Amino acid sequence: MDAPRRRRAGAERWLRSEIAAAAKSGVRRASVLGALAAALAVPQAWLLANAIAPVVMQKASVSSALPWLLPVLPLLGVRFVLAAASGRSALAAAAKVKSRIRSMLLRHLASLGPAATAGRSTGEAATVVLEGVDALDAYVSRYLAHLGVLAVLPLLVLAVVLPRDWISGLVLLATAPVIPLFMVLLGLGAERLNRQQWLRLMRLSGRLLDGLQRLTTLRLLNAGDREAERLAEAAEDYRRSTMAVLRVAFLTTLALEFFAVVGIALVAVLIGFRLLDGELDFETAFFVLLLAPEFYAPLRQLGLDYHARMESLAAVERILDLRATTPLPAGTRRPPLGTAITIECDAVGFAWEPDRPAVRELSLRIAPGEIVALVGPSGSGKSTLLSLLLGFVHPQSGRILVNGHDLAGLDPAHWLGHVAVVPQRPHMFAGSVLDNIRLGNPDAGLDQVRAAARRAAADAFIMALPQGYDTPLGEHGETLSGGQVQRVALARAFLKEQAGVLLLDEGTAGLDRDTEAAVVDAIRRLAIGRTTLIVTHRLATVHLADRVVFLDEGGIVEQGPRAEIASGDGRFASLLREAGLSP
Amino acid sequence: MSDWTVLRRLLALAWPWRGWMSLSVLVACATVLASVALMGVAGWFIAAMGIAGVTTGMMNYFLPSAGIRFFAIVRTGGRYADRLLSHEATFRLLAGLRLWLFRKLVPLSPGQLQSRRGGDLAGSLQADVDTLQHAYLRLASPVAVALVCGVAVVATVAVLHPPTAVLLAVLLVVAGLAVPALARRAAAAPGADAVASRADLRVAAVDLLQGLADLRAAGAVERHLVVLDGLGDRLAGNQCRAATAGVVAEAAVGLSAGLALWGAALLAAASVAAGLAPALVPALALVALAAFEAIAPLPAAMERWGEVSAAARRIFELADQSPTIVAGPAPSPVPHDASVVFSSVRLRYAPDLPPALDGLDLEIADGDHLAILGPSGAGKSSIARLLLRFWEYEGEIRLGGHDLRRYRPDDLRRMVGVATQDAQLFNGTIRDNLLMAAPDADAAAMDRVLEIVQLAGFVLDLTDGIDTWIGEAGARLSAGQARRLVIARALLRNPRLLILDEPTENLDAATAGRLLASLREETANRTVILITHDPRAASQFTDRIVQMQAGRIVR
Repeated sequence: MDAPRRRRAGAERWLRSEIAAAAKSGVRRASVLGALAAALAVPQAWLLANAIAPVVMQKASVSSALPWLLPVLPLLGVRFVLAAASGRSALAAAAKVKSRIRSMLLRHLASLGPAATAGRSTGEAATVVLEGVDALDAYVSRYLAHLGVLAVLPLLVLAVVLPRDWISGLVLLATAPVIPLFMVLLGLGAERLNRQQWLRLMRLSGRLLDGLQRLTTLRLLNAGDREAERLAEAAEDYRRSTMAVLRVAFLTTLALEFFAVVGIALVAVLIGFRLLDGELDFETAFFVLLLAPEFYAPLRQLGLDYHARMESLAAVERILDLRATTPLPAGTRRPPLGTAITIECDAVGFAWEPDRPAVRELSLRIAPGEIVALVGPSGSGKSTLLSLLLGFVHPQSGRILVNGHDLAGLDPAHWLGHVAVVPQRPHMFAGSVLDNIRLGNPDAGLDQVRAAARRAAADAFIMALPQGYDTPLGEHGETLSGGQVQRVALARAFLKEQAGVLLLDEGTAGLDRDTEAAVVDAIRRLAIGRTTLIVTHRLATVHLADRVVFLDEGGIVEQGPRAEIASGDGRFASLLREAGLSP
Repeated sequence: MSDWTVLRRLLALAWPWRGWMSLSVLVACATVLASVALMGVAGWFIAAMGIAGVTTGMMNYFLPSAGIRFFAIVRTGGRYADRLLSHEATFRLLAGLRLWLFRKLVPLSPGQLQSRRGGDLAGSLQADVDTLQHAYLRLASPVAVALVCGVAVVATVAVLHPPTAVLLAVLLVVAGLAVPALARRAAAAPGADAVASRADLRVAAVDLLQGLADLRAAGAVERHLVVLDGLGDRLAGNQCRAATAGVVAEAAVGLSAGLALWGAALLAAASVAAGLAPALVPALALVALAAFEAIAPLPAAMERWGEVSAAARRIFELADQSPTIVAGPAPSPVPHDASVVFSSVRLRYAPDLPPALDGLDLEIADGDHLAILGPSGAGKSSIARLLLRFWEYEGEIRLGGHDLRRYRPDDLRRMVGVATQDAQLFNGTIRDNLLMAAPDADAAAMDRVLEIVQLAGFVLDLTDGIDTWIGEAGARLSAGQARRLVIARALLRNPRLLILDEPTENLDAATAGRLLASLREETANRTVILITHDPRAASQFTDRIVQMQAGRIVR
């Protein structure tokens, strides 16, 4: 078995085990009810054959047929109820499976931590969580639910036909095994289709998306017509190549159809000749003819479900890809840390990719209440150091100690409980401004939140928003400017009063002068009494610091009190001069 | 827009492909009818053979058995041809639909494209187009086949035995129209709720992924996961309720087929005494049963109509907008020079928003360099949008001595080059992105503009040089590099009036200085407007600096 098929088989095993855990009884109920509904086709055919035979052969009156015909009605009713109930249980089971896998997937993604999710396209992961999980529905509600019928009906039909008319039984038996064989071919064809064509369709869709997203730029460059031509070419290419594949892939459909139809036709013709020779009675003949399509129906259904199954399994593969990344081993210790916290980096080294260290042999001690500004060119390791201090990643060499405890051994939630964080690009969640500020403690009242916002210089602009603190933010809400977002994040940090540590990444957002002054002022207030590390590019913020640490290529190049290193002839001083900001 | 209008317009859109589509429907009908005929002939054949067996012992079985073989072959081959033709038709429709939409959208102004649906216009359009392209395969074709085959079968049965035809017609209508309609109604509320909960879930999932650092820092991860679980359960529950209606409808179609089989047997049997040929009894019963193959896909197809019509409505709404700014019939005037004069220009993006430009007066002589300084939201970027004729405005703008409105938008964009803040790069190589702006540019010209924007060294260091793939929206470039590539693209078009919107953002001070110096030298003979919030950048570029605030020049 080649690698992709082995992978697919593994995906199916995993899905089966998840289904067994989430909704075993529901799937079984759906199968049993469906099989029962299908099995009732046999007594139905028997009743009908017996009703019609005397009418056809002896021109008997309809009253003689009625005793046979009337019981068919309740039978039909029961079949309807059973079929509907089977479908219902299957869908309910599918819902349970989807909820379980989705919840597990989200928990897994959350456990990977920001460092792991940062590198990945969130749109892609969200698509797996939504559409990917939804694609599992068909596997449960169609494929699995129909397996019961497949297992019962053909065998049952054979069992009742063979003793009555062994020739028809043999015809059925002979054509049936051919069908699974073609199912395998069909499966292979569908697989190939799924792989290649799906990818092409995605690319074609991506092309349109690309064009639509950049419509303004296309217009700006007068390139709309050129792009339209290219779009038409791509679609035409797609059609030609896909049809070439389909012409072959659909041959399996042709074969499947061929054997089912030929089987029925053969049964009918052979029955006819034996009727003519008086070797068979009409009752049996009609009974067999009624059942012949029932014999092939589940096999045909399987052909229809095969595609759904393949799509589900492709989705499972994407889900398993996401699960393949394992989360960082998290510490569990929760020692009391108090509010006076010393942070020590002891020869810390870390590389995102092998051979490209982002932080090397870095040693740094920040005393309780000390404010340290971390400066340096982009790519010098500032953000990595911050990720390390937050515990999002662990040092690969050396260690980080907080009040003497190794950070890698601490329960991450416990450690972050002591840290007020303002990330470079704070995220605004769907919800009100109020909820965004009190993200950490949803029980905080409006007064408390407003007090925090005031200290973060955010209250004024929030009150000026259309609905004040109730203004919705996030995806479908108000868009805040970079400076406003930063101040909301500062307000979040202010609300975390008990935190003894402040880790702040200022980013490079363009702020106008008034805003910058307000933000720096807020940071000053926030840093008071806290062990503080600020990643910054702004001179105004550097002014707040007791000590400046200049980072380059993952190591500390120089450090010292601000005034001292600003006036020297080191890297920091030359940076200031280059920016035209001589001290 | 009523359902009928939507349907009519969808059909009008598909009209150019009517040949392919009707051929595919024709073949599909032949396939279904062959299978109905197969069952009918087989039923008649065995009954006639049985009767002959106990009476004369003579029967011309060549014709019926040949008929059975013929219908079996038509059925088998028809299924194959049907699948090929319907896919062929779909792909042709798909290509046409995309092109039609794209051409419709190109002339619209950015403001019209933004309408109501915020940033995700392209994404939701994409989904709508995907929905529509399946409308033919899964909606139009099954409905047409059901209609044609239903009528054909009922008409044939009516010739043989009118009572059975009446019963069959009634049951076909019930199963093909009433059942799907009821199912649609039952699925409407949970279906709408599923759409809403899916949107909420997506937002919350993206929030989790993008805001994980914030959630962790706030200790709110578990709380957010519980919210997500609730949304996920709600979505799955609603999907289940909506789909249950479909499953029950499917079972109801099965019930109708059973009733047709039963009723046909009963009615035909009752007519034997009145002279109906007894061999027709099993034939009619089997035909009645087999006829339901034609309408079996209808509940699923009708379920799709809601989705399809909603998607079509959104697309038509957008495509129906007539461009607010259209080229007049007259050719553009020939500009005297590249001077620009704004007199009392007012611009408002939406009635409920404050004006972006509030009586702007500004004069830039030919060949002048002007820097416009001001905080974000002062209206600086609106100046570029007006000069490109992306928005209508009040007041007067003169370019090269003529009213701006007299220029055709295409000609205007040839004259005015803009490196905007929100300009995007395309998924392609650096060369592709440059050629997008000027398809005829030669290598020397490209090298020169890369030199000017201080990217020449960077490109030289790349393994594939100018043919390096820069990824989705230029993702493989840093923000500063992407910005400079956009400037290079604008320069390559050799515009007489160049507008640079925040060219130095995301650049370190040294690179910014070098960029401005080389731009200043390069554009010595051109009119240039530099838009920035950085006073240093402004003064490095030019001595003529104006300050903007709240939509007007303040200094």
